[in-house]
Amino acid sequence: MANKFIKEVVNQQYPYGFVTAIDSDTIAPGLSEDVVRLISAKKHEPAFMLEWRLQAYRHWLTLTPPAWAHVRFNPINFQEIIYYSAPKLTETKKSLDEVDPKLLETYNKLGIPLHEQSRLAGVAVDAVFDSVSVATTFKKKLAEAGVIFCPFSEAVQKHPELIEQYLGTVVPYRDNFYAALNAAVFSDGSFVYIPKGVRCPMELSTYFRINTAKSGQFERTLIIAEEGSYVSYLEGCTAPMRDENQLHAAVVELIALERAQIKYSTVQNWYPGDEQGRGGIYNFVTKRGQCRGAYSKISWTQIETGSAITWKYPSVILQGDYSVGEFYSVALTNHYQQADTGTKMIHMGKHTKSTIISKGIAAGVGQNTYRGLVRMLPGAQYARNYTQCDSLLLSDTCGAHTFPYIEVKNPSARVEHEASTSKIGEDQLFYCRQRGLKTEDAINMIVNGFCKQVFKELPMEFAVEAQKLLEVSLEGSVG
Amino acid sequence: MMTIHARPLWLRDITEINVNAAIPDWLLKSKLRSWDYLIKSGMPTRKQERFKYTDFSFLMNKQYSLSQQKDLTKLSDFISKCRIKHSNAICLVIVNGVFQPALSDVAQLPDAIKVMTLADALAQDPELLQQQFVNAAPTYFAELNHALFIDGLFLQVADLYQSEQPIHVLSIITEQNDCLISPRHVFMIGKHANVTILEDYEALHANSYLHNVVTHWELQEGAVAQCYKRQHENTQASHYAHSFLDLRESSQFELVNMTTGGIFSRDDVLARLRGVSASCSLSGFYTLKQASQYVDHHIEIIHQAKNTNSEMMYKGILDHSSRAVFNGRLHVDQDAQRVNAYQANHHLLLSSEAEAYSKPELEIYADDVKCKHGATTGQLDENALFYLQSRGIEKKQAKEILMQGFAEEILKRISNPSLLAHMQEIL
Amino acid sequence: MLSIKNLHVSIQDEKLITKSILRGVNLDIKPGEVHAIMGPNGSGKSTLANVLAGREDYQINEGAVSFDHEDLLSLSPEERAAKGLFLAFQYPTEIPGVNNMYFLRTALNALRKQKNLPPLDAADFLSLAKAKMKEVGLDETFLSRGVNEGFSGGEKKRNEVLQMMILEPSFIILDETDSGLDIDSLQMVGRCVNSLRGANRRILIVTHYQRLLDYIQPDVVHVMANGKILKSGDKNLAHELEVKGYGWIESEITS
Repeated sequence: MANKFIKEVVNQQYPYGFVTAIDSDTIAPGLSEDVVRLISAKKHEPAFMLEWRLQAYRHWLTLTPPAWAHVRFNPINFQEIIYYSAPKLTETKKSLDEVDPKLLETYNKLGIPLHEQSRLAGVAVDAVFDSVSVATTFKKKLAEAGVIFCPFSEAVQKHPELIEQYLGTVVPYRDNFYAALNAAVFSDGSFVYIPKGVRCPMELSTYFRINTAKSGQFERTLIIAEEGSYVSYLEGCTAPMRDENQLHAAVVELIALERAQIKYSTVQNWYPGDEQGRGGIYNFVTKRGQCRGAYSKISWTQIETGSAITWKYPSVILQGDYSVGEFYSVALTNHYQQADTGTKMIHMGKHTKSTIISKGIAAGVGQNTYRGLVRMLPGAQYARNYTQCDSLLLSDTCGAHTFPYIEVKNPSARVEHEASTSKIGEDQLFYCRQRGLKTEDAINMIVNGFCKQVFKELPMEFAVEAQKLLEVSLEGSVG
Repeated sequence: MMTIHARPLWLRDITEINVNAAIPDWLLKSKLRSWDYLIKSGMPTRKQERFKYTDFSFLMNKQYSLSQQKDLTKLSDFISKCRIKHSNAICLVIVNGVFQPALSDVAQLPDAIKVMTLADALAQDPELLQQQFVNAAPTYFAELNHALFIDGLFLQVADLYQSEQPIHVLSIITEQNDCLISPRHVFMIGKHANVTILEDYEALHANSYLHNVVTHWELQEGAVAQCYKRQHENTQASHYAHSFLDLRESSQFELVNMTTGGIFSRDDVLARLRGVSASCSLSGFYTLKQASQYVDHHIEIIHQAKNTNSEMMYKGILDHSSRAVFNGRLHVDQDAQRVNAYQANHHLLLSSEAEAYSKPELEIYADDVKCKHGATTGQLDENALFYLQSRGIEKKQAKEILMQGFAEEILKRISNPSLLAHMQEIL
Repeated sequence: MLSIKNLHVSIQDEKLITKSILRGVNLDIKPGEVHAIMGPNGSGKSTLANVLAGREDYQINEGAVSFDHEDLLSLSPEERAAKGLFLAFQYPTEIPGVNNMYFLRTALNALRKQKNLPPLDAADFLSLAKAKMKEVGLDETFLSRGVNEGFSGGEKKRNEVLQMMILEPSFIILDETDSGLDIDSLQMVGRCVNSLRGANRRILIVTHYQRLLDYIQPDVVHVMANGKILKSGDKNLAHELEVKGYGWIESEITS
């Protein structure tokens, strides 16, 4: 008995990654000004942070939750959510043998390496294991380059002046309902700062994966790229992520100064709910990048195959002259999933350029909607936009919809928009089958070809995983 | 909490529905319902998706009264001027929203084409139009027309009749006050019949009236109809037209809309492809040269049956501080398989104050479909301009040649040369 | 042995009206033989080719097809391919975004798997592909393009022959492969198909014109019209047709 108790304690205190001191209180569900104060106090935040949170909260009270025509979900009771709780201690298993074999099967199909599988499944990992030492090496490399990459709450403590300068300047709390909520109660997230002229020495994806703790509900990410710098950041992973929190309302702000480049890739496979659509995650995210300086560039690449409801419009504000915004997306809806996703490209500066490539794949009874805005303001002389949105229908019960908004207020601006909706051609399928490919393989191949333009924008290792992810997500969808 | 809106200022003078004692019961009830709806729902606002970009400022500071019947004798000269030259078109004249058989070429009509005022049609067969009016979609201005319309044109082409003469429906506004004119027209084309109708909108004076038209088209099995609309209302007028198209099996409908008139002009077209193999092609060209001129096309095509095809092609040239809005909604029902649909919208902006808004939408529930849309906004091709100039053509003329080329894609859909010439006159 | 017995096939058009296309086709092709089927438009020859390959738009009303003692009609298209059936399409489809080389390698490896052979890796496949591309007259750049994407008509046909050369099928059906080809391309097709002739291979050429048969000499020529094979003979029959036209056959039958 005593031994078991000791073992448990030892396991609990296992230094897994960079978990901060464990705090054991949780407050009751519900949101009020007191809760906001409590959150800020628990995090020992400076006064300006608390003030910002309170302003956001007060503004949120004046708003009503938005509704879009093509997404249906049960209304969220905001008073039932717990807004602060201690980082959870996941019950650890001793080995992969204790893990649900179906889950392991998925990990194998996705090509996730064994030690990653252990971590994801909650298996206790040996203290001397690779992942810890690898992480240490990365941290050293980044420090040498002057790159700051740490949890948001750490940045508030160590770099308050940067936070105060940039937080909320791209997505102010007034922006929308969920942005206001997030600003009031956000728990944590990532902070990245790349100094002038520095090319971040590695994909922040690799490092991030090893350091991923359980994602919070209201995450806040801020990435600042100073003049002439470059960073490639990847969030998420292909393994299906479950969470008892149903609502995820994150905010991501990107700022690119003159000649800086930020590449932000997302591969998200939130739990989509069972085949009847129950219990899936609602993914409502506000992501925006601002190309502040001339010749700056921000690219959003996303592969969305999960979540019950996806509602996100990564956007770029092209303020600096000659700045460039890009959006590459593959959104898959199967079973009862609903996706209402797209982008906004706001052209303010001269000679600004934006490219939008959106590929929607609808299967099962899913509803897949692209909603995009291209706005050329009066100052956007010689601005250019090219948009291509294509939808592929894989069943006769799904829906694919496209709602682009094109607003042009400058005569020298040029907008070109093309969209098409179709299903996989019978001819194409027959051609592949006559050459010996099974129907399922043929469909995977054709769907891959359909998404190619987007896949090639992903950091390489994830392009391969993304392709596998698509295959796995499409299983059993043909009909 | 329900908000009851006050009657808008511009409707103040219209205190009650002016009904003709002879209308059928169902119509009276329906009109009262529409009036009720208008008062309860209030003016549409920009928060409604349908009216996101619509500028209703033209209604401010106006108080429209209903149009009164006037002396029509002095119109014959004007009508002669408006006729289509070198054509055997049969002219049907509508003055201030009321069909005037006395001023029209009624005698020239073949037996197979029945033409009368809407009031007469209702008197002859009260139930006939009940189905038609049910098909209309409940939007603010369509309901406004329904509540207030007195009359309009009823035209019916018998089964199998192949028309040899185009029908010129000439609408003239002679009112000099700020009036609200609400005609309602019904065109019914019989099985496998064929007809071409040119809808012409002219005005005698330069005052600001609101011409709120609703037209119903019903094409029976195999019917073919071409509608050319020439909108040349005066520069202060406001024109709002709703067209409801009911297309049965294997019918074909073609629309070519040319709009240059009005300070505010909006066309809402709702086409239902209800029968298998029905098809429709809706196109339009608009050129806005006036300050603050606004043109809006809201086109909605609903594919309800298999093997149906549709096309939307709208192009516009905008100058000064004009604004154009295009919203093309393509909806394919789940059972509407083997649909082929194409949608395109192109804008040329000639000034830095012009604004263009484009929203080509696809809402697809079937899977065996091929749907495409494209939209571009830009300016005249610099290379093409230079090419013409290098061949000795002066810049101004070169620009006009290019603009003509831009319009050509729409204009070439009109095969009859005299009709084409008549349409081109307003450009 | 490929044996077609009394095959009756029909199709339903958009208006759901049933049209019968094959009205009792009988045909036997022994290993090592090259057969040609000629006939006017609408005779059903392309339909026969597609039905053999397994296209699902058609209804088989009567008859049977056995391929090496197996019921061919009960197999799916990919199963027939695994058995060695290859159809060179009349109108090869474009598959955008799918790399041509990747497609070819996947098809070949699927076939090798059936035969319990190990798959070819990228490098080995590339050398094989390069060699065959030379024979077919396609530039190496075609490997990196999407399958048939933006290919001209002639290039699409060459791509079909390339696939044939790589997959080395045991029953080749050429569906009007010669339509739209110039002399050089015809010669290439002839050369490549001839190089595949062998004791264990069956070749069925469906064609409208006699030209291709100058390059690929058939052992048996059949004339098809109205969904049936009306007459069979040796290669001289093709020449007679060329001279006398299809009307001659029909009148011969009725007389």
